Amino acid sequence: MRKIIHVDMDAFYASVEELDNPGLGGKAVIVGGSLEGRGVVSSASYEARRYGVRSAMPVSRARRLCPHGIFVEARIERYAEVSEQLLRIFKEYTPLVEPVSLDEAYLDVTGLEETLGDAGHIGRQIKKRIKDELGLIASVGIGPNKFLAKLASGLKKPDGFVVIKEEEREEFLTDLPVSKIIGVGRVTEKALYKMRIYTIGELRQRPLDELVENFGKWGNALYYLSRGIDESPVVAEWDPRSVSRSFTFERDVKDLLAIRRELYRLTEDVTGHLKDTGVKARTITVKIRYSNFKTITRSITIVPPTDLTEMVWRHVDTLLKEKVTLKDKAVRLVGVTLSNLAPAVTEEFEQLCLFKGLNTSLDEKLQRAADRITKKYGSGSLKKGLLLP
Amino acid sequence: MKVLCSNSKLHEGLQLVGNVVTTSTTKPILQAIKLETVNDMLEISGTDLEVGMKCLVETEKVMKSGSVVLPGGRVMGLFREWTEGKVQLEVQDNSCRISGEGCDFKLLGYAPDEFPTIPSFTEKGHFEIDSGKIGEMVRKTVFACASERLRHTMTGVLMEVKGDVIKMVATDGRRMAYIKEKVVNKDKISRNSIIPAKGVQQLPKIAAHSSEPMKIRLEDTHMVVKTEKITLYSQLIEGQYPNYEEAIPKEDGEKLEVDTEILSGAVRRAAFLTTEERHVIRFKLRKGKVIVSAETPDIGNAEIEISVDYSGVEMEVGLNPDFLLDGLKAVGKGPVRFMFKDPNTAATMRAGKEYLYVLMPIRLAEA
Repeated sequence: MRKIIHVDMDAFYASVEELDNPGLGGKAVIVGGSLEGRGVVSSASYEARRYGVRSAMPVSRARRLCPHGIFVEARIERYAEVSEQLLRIFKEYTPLVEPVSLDEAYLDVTGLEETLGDAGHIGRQIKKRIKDELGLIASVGIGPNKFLAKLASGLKKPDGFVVIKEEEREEFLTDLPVSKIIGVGRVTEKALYKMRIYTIGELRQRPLDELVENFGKWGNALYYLSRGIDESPVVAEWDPRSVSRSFTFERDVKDLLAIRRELYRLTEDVTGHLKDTGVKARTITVKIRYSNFKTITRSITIVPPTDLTEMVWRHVDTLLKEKVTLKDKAVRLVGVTLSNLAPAVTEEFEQLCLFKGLNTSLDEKLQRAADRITKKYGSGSLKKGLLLP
Repeated sequence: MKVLCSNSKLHEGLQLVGNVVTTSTTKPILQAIKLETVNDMLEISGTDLEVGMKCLVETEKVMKSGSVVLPGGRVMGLFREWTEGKVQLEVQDNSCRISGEGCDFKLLGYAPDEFPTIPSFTEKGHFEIDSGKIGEMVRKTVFACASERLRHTMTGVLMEVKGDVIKMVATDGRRMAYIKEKVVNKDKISRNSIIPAKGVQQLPKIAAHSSEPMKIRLEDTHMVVKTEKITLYSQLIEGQYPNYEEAIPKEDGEKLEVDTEILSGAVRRAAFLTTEERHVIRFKLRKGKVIVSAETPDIGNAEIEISVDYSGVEMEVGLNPDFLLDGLKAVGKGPVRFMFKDPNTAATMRAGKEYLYVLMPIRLAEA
């Protein structure tokens, strides 16, 4: 039997804001995308939730519900930083950590009883360390699979700690509404209501055939989930679908050079990441968010795929020059995304080139030389002219 | 300006000029269309600065000469929906009253002097080519241009004129299309120019509206083309075009001839079993046949056998099916002649005496 821990941070963004600004402690903190009231709430402290403020609600509505609330603009970079610290704690216990989002992760601690203690012990330790070391509150759920672990972490929020034992799983589920099953959204829920199924217990009464007939493969999953059976593994590292980095300027900028410099740094960052993971990218996307929050993305797909900084940079720069209107518009955020990734070892099928010297070899040579210099003299020893002040 | 003209003629001219007017620019004036009387004709012009076009349209009557610059999208849209009957255009200040058939529009325009000048054609130093022929040349080459702006010169088509021969070459570095034709070159022009794809693509369109030979003049920085009623201007791409002659392999390899339509059918079918990662088909040359195949792990295999007269060395060459199909589509029908040397050297495909398509293979993994 497996032992899965699900850690879910309570009001994560709002809590990080309280952490960074002690004056906010215990107040109705509402983190949203935009201060001008166009964005949506991405996190609300429990104090704010008492007034009915919820995630994904328009900021304007939150203001009406909670006029005295403290509205803070989201700082994703900062939350990502804290999230990294969380992951570091998790990984001290097991390498099998699957982050779901910045504030949520599964850990597979099967078979660690002898060395680290049982799942309950590990779960409590993690919860305590998050509080002691980071000053944040997490809800922890433990179960024989991911479904039940997540269910458990959600049962006693905030500051919850719930263990669902294998033998209790059906009992736990019986009276819960079907919407508690991961993946049951509005559509499935409606369809189930039509079949007069409201609770997980009622779902369990239905034969497999009937569910498969109505929902196909998903019906099969529902049949087992209603019994608390979920075989899906904790996947520590899955194939990344894309690599993305963005940067928010401290103050909105109009200066093209500043924008290009930041885009170049991001390009270095994403291509560096590609090289680490041994993949190449086919699609390059530039993202620009203007000061009014209007966001545009412009992409190009190239053949063959590449992981070379200079190659990607030329495309990024060209996209910026030709596909983005900057004229007098202040820019708030820039981003570079590489997607459509393919394993770098595609040497076996290589499109040959008609002309000598027109392939990427020059870029490749340059990159290799640059990598060697950096290795010998340290990072920052070689810099692109663009980045010099 | 006050002009009476038929809607259908106006529509035709607007459509043609509309091809060069850009929709994605920050400058509204570059999305505009200029209308100007020239004797008893109306000249419609548009430009995105890289490519510009002027087109003369017959009128019913010019009551008052003059000009007006109007938003292109709206004018073109209007006459796309209104191709019947006659219309009167009357300029009042910078706006234009468009009326007729019970309709009455007043469209606000731009100041005519803001509209960029499109250079005119001058007779001296040009060559002439049959309109149909140049259209054909473009159709058979321009698709091979690079779409990436990185290899800037390759985003255009090379036009080489010398003696009574014109050659056009387009390549993206992995395949190359080459065609030559006869020209009338009284002025003994000798030039190599790289014309942006957008400029080249206008040639078949204006050729379709012309029965007389097309006059082409190549300058250092631009090209001007003239037919009876149309003037086309295109900037040239500066830079060194790759040495295309070096990339054409000598014809000393294994040869075979195959029907264009049979082969493209086979390649299209085999390509269904390729993936984006392994977008490759194999040309297996065997005695008396060529086998077009695709072998993709997790997808499956395809083999399509075509009987050909072949007795050369048996070999297996990997090719990008899209590149091959592009070339076959340009040829259309009839026989094509292939020449293969070895799996890592350029292959050629020829049709007639004038058309050559060079394909660089994809190196295959050793099975």
